[in-house]
Amino acid sequence: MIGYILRRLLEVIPTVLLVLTLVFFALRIMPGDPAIAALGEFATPDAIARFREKLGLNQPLYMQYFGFIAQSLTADFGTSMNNGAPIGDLLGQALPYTISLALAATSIGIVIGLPLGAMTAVHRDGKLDAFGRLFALIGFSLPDFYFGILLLLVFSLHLDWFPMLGGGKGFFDQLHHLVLPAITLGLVMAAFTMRLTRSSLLEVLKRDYVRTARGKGVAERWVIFKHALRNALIPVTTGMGIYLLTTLSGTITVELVFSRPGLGTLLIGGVSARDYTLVQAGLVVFAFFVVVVNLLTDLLCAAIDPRITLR
Amino acid sequence: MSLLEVTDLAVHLFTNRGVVRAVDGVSFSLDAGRSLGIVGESGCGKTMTALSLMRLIPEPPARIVSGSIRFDGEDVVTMSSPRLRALRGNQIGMIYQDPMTSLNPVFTVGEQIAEAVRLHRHDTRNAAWARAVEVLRLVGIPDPDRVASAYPHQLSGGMRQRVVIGMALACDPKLLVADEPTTALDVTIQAQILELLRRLQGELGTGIILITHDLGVIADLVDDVVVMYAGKLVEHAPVRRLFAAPRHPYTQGLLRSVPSLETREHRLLTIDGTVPPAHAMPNGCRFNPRCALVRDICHEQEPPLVDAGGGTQVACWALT
Ligand SMILES: Nc1ncnc2c1ncn2[C@@H]1O[C@H](COP(=O)(O)OP(=O)(O)O)[C@@H](O)[C@H]1O
Ligand SMILES: [Mg+2]
Repeated sequence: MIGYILRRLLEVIPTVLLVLTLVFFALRIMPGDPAIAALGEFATPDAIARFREKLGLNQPLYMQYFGFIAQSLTADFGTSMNNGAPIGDLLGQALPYTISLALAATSIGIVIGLPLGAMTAVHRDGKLDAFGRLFALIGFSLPDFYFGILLLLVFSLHLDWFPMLGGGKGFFDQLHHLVLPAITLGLVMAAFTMRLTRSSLLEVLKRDYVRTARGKGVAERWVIFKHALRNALIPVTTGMGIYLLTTLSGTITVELVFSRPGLGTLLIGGVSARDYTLVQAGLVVFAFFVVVVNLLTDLLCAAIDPRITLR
Repeated sequence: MSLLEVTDLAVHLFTNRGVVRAVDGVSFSLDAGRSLGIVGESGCGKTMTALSLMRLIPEPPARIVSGSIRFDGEDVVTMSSPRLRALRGNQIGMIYQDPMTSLNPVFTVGEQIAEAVRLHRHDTRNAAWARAVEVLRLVGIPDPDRVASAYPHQLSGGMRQRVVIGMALACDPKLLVADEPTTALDVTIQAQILELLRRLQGELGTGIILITHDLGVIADLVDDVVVMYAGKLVEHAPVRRLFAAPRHPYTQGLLRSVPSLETREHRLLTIDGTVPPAHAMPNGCRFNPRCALVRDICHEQEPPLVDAGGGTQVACWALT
């Protein structure tokens, strides 16, 4: 297992480099001159030259590239082109809001989706299964922003149970602010986890080794929760990892709806202010998320399935 | 009293395409410490019969529609689930056809054996593990301490089948049911596993039901043989008698297709035709489309099982 973890960590290095390279070139290929974009159409040539100098845009491309890689790896992103604030600080303030949202949504997905998925598989075609189908239908078809606004209207505006906007100050206030955004994002996560768990468990329950467990005299409860579920979790973990990545874009929507000062809000702000350095840094962080989630997914799978690490 | 007494067992499968009568009115019995072979081509209902003994048939689609299975005097068909669980893996051990798929990939083989021991003997973890290592040694696995900590995928097919056999024997069952235990294995490994079963039978005195499609496998392993065809019991005889004087045309066909040991020729002769598809069973005797001795009545009425002397029972109109 330790050997596998080390090997997997080593494999992260080329992935990170590749992703950084993609970010770098994606930004260079984008149409328009960042200097003009930042300073406006009527900036003097002098001002533009100074701007390019400051950002290093007048250097040869390969110098820019290596400078960018070095900066990214040392998390030294410079200062915002707009207000001069250190980008590292901006990211540091925004990240906890995004990470807590992603974690809370994933937890909701697991806590609701896993048991419900397992139960609907066991009581296939029963009442609970019908409810599960309905739940999945709602979860998948209700758009994030719509569901978020709905929650805001009912539980904040109408009932006044939860704060309307912002991220909150202090632990409990932040937790209070987290509830509605987490439910918004967690609903679809739960629906996804439930359906995946259900189909995966139904598949596993047909396997020969499940019959072997019954043949040993194992009680049905343990046949399902020990013998079958552990095997069913392997595709569920992989699927959730991939799904979590697609939900990262969901965090942007949800942060906008709830005005959470997270990474998504920061990034969108950067884009509309044409803050080139900020957008670049935000993309690097998102890319880093992707790598971390992939790594965690793989390690989790390895912990569940001995066939991955032992040969 | 017999250890096992199966009377008029019928297992039907209720599928979208209609009812499959996988087992239809089968009776046999087994005394403690004795052994019985169940023989027939693929699709004859052997597995369904075996699984019924512990009520392991896949429900749905399968269901035991009639008959009784008395084990130690108690009817398995109507048994409560706690009683059934106490029977499974404890009084009856089962060996499955495919060792590659019948072990759980995410637990070590030691854990999988120890689980049965803990369940039925209420042993501590350590005692159960020690028993697991002991049965691994019993089934001829070298270095059982190390193998107990291995996962199934780290073992060869033959090793895995030994593990499954060990698991079946871990609680000293009175009956061992082996459903084609060598079919999925290489020829050399097949011989080793059969040799192991023979040895265990001598050492432990467990009752054995050995299922196979290959008559050659059971000649010196069982006392009695049941021949099944398309869900029906067609002949029931002591093993020597069956080999010396097979009565049913199907049994005769099966015997002719046993590869001869001297010439090592494989299956020179087989029975013409195949087992009819489950939803298109012929009327009367189910063997009639393939039978050389077929007559009118064979198309009209099912032949009853009758005594044919020498301990043989046979269901064939040509012999009555
Ligand atoms: N899950 C199932 N669904 C439908 N038919 C089945 C199923 N399992 C077995 N059968 C049918 O039941 C009959 C008996 O099968 P089985 O007991 O497995 O035969 P054997 O072990 O002698 O090869 C066959 O005709 C087979 O096609
Ligand atoms: Mg079979």
